[in-house]
Amino acid sequence: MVSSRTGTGSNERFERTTTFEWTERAFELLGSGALRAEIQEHSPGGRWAHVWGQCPRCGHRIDDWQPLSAVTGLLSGRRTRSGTGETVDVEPVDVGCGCGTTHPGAPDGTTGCGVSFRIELEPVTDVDAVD
Amino acid sequence: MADGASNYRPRRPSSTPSQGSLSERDAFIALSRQSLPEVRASAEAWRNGLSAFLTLVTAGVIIKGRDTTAGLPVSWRILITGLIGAGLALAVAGLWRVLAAHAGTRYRLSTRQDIRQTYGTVEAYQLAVAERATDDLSTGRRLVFAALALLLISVGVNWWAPPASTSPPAYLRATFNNTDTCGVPQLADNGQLWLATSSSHDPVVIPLAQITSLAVVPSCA
Repeated sequence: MVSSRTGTGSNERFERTTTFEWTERAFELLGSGALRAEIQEHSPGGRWAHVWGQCPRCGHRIDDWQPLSAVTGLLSGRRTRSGTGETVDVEPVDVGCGCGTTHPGAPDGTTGCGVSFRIELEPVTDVDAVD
Repeated sequence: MADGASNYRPRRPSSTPSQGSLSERDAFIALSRQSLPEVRASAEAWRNGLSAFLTLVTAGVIIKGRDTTAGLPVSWRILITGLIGAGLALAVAGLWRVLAAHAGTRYRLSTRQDIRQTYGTVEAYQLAVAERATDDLSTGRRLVFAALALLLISVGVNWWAPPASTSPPAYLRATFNNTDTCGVPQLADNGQLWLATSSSHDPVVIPLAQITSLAVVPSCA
C-alpha cells in the first residue's frame, strides 16, 4: 500500500491502482456528501452517469460524465420493471481520477492520480421512498 | 438532484474495477460516441438505396410496362409477367438485405445494461452485429442472383415466344333478305359467300347478288 487513505492533494504520487480500498473510500465520501453520483436521463433511454466531488485518493475535484446508452442495431428493447418502463438493474460505474492535476511520477501528458474506483447505483423503489 | 436525474442511490460495491471492466467502459464510451455518425451514415445509405429501389421498380414496371409483352399470346404474356414480377420482387428483397448489411436496421437507444445482459461485452455485441451483416449479405446475394436468373429467363422467353395469333382477322356482317348474318368468312366463290357462324354447325351460304350490305366488324356480339 503506497497511498494514504485520506489523500494528500497534489503531493500524491501517480499510481495506477484499482485496489478495493479506494472503492470503499469513495462509498464513504458518497455518504458524507464530499462525492456525489447520479444517473441522468434527459431523453427516454438516453442515460448518463455523473460523478463529481472529491477524488477518494488524491482529494482533488473530479467531474466525470459517462454515457450509459448508445445507439445499437440489434437489441430489441430495454428490459424494464413490469409496467413502469424503468430499468431494474444496479448500475456499476467505474470512475478514474480525472482531476486535471499532473501528479508526481505520472507519464508525460497524463493527469489524475491514477486511481480507478467503482460506484454502484441502485434504483430507489417506491417502498424505499416511503421508508 | 439535477434536472433529468433519475431516482438512484449509491450502494456499497462488492468488487473493485478490473482491467476488463475498465476496458469495457472505454469500449462502451467509444460505441456511444459512434452513435450519431453511425445513424447519419446509415440514413445516407438507406436514402441512396431506397432511391435505387424506386428507380428499379419504376424502370421495370412502369416504364417497360406492357411494351415487352403486348404482342404475345395471353398465356405467354402471363408467364413473362410472372417471371418479371418475381424477378423484380426478389431483386428488391435481395437489395434490401444487402442494404441492411451495409446500413444496418432497427436502430434504437440501448443501455449498457442491455448490452451486458444480452451479449456480455461490447465486443461480443459488435461481433453479433458483424455476424448479422454477414447473414444479410449472404442472403441478399442469393436473392439477387435468383432475381437475375428469373429476369434473364423472362428475356429468353420473350425472344422465343410465338407471336399472338391473328385468326380470325375480322368478322363479316352480311345483310341479305333483310337478315343480318355475322361470322368468320371461309370462302367466296361461284357467286357465294360462306360464313362460319356460332349459331349453326354448317357454314351459312349467301348468294353474293342478294347481299345488300357487307361490313367488316371486330366481333359478332
